[in-house]
Amino acid sequence: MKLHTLVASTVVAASLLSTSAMAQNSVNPWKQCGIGAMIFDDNSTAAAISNVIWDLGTTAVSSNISSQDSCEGLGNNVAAAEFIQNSHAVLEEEIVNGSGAYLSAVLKMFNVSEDQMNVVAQNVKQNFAKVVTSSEYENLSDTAKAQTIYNVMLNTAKQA
Amino acid sequence: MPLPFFRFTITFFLISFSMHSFGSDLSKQIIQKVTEYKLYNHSQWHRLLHYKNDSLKTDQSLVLSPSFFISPNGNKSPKDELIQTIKGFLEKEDLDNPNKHAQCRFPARFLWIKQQLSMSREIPKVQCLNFSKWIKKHQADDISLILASGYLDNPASLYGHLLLKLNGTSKISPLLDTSINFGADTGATNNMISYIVNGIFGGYQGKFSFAEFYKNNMLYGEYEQRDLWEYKLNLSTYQVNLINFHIWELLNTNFQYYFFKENCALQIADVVSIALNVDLYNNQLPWVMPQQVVNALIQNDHVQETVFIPSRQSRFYHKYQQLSPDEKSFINDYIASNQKRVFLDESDMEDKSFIINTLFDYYAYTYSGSEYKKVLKKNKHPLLSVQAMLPVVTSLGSEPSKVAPDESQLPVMTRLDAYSKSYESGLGLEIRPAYFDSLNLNFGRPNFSSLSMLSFKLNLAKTGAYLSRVNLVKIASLAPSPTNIETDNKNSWKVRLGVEQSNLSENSTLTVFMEGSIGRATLLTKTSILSGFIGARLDADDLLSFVPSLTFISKPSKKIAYKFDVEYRSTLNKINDSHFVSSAEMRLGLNKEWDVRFKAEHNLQTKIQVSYALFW
Repeated sequence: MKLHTLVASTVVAASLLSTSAMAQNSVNPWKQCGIGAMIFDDNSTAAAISNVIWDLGTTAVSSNISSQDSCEGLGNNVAAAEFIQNSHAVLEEEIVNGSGAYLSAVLKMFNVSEDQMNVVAQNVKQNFAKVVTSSEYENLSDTAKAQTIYNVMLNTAKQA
Repeated sequence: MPLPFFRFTITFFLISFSMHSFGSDLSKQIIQKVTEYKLYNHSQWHRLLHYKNDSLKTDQSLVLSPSFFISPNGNKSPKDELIQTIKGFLEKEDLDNPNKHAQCRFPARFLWIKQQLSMSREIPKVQCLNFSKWIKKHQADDISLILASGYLDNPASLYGHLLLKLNGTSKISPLLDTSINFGADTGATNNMISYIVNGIFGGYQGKFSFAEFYKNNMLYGEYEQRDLWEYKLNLSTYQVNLINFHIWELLNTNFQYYFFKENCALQIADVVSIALNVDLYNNQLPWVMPQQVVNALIQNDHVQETVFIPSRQSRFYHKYQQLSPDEKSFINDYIASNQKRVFLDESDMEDKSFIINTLFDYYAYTYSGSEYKKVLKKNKHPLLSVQAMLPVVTSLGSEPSKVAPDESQLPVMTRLDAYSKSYESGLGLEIRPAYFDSLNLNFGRPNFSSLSMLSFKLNLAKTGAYLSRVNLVKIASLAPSPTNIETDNKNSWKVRLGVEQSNLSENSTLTVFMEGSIGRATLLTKTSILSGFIGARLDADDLLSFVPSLTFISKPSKKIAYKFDVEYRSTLNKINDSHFVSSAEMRLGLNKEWDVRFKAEHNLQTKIQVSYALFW
């Protein structure tokens, strides 16, 4: 990760998450579960999730992240982190809309029930509004954006 | 022998036998009966072993991995493999390593043999921990076949892609359901020539892999702008389990990969046909296409529901069509604006969320892939910022809908024609192994484009039969935009390579040629298109020609379509040879399996023809 994106990421995360948030998220799936190793900051997400060259069957998608030993016991949070990493471009749109299939999937991974879904989605929208309206957010790398989204969603879900 | 009688015989035998004897004796007795009734010749057993019998391979499995077989002859002898498999199933559990037991390695075979022999109590119970853990995570309620539409900008993706989706494997969201892909292991090389050669001629090995479905949705729908079609299969619980369990058997199993035949379409069809016990493609042909597999499933009534999963591009066009002229104008102005945030804040659009979401789709589709980030900051961030402060979006209108690709005319064509020229009349035969032309009924394909490979035409006249044309490759990618957004208008292009008579005159001879053109296409109405190209043609007589062309295509209804084509062939090193080449063609007929066409063309001489084509 380049220095300026790291700095920007830190600034955004620090200014937007509650003081207890970072303590609650003591596990960073990007560092502990190898998600970061899959991501190439200067390439598209598509390149990172697939090596399609020949169709009629070269979609050799790998999905071994959550099976790594360091991730055992972390449950759905690792899957959520990977999901957010791969789909953050769609997810940020659904978050600002306050609805959508990708948004619901992540919240369910964070154990939000169907009954709470609309309220939590609205809270995520409000909390993310503070992030996305800052000038720092647009300068973040893809991975830093994904981590920011992860933190906002996880902390909002925990408060439900 | 009818299977029910066989099953009854074995069941009776087992019940009576189990009262007297156990262990290896049981194994011998079962094998004796299985051999007597030739269960190893059962087509489903051959399917479980991926046996193929065609002109090139006789009774041999496509699986390369020795670990897929218990018998050393398992890849060549279904009998040996069945005997060894039954012996393996009846062996005592090795408590130190139960996962290596045949019941754990081959649960689909176990399920099938148990069902065939109606046996349960006689077989040792084995704790398959690894398989149990895997199936708990990937147990499907039902199964869908997913067809990713082909697209012409990548030669590797012309014919589309097939994968399986194990529905219900995730209790959280269908996006997290398991999907099964078959793909070539291409390694890390970036050499395109190497890809082509290895892909076509078997230089790669192929494998099955599994991943959450959303990854395929992101790849095809978000990055490659390819619509997906989900075909939910009509399967019993037993059939679902058979496929589900067999996928476990296929993990870490290698096949040879061939782009035209032993590809994703063949392998996915083979997995499905294990449960259905029907052929889903013609194994005698040297190719298998995804569309053929889908059509076979539909014809055999194995599809219960078809669901359209639109790409970003399809979603953008659908939203754009719903906008008022003022809103369309707003979008054009926003895209052109240098002060996007100010522009948004000052706008008084009623449904700002709908417009913002239309722009989300536009930017996601236009700048997908590596280009995306370059424009992300400037274009998308203001939209996110404004939308974040607007009320929650509860609906974005209707979902896009499209006619499914299985409604298209079938991909293989045999065309018979009667023609007349000033000096000759006769009959013609054209064979096109794949795939479609601009006048076909095209659904789930680029409607005005064409894609043909290895087609040829024979003429039969009074003077005898002769070859008039071979198209090794013929592709025309016409990409008109249904919007009036300037940056949405992509280039169109044409490529043709083959052997043909360069004109219609009596003394014309066959010549090798190569053509390439680039241009633009514009929609005149929803059903008609005008395209213009500039290009070059090189033929074996060292004639380099400059070939500007215009094409008009109209498809006013499903029953009728017509095309006018004019090209000026300006030969650079033989000025006097420059001339116009023109044609007019009309298709009649609303049927996937046939059409009738009338065609007139002029290339130094004039030719008229009427033809009838069968599609299959």
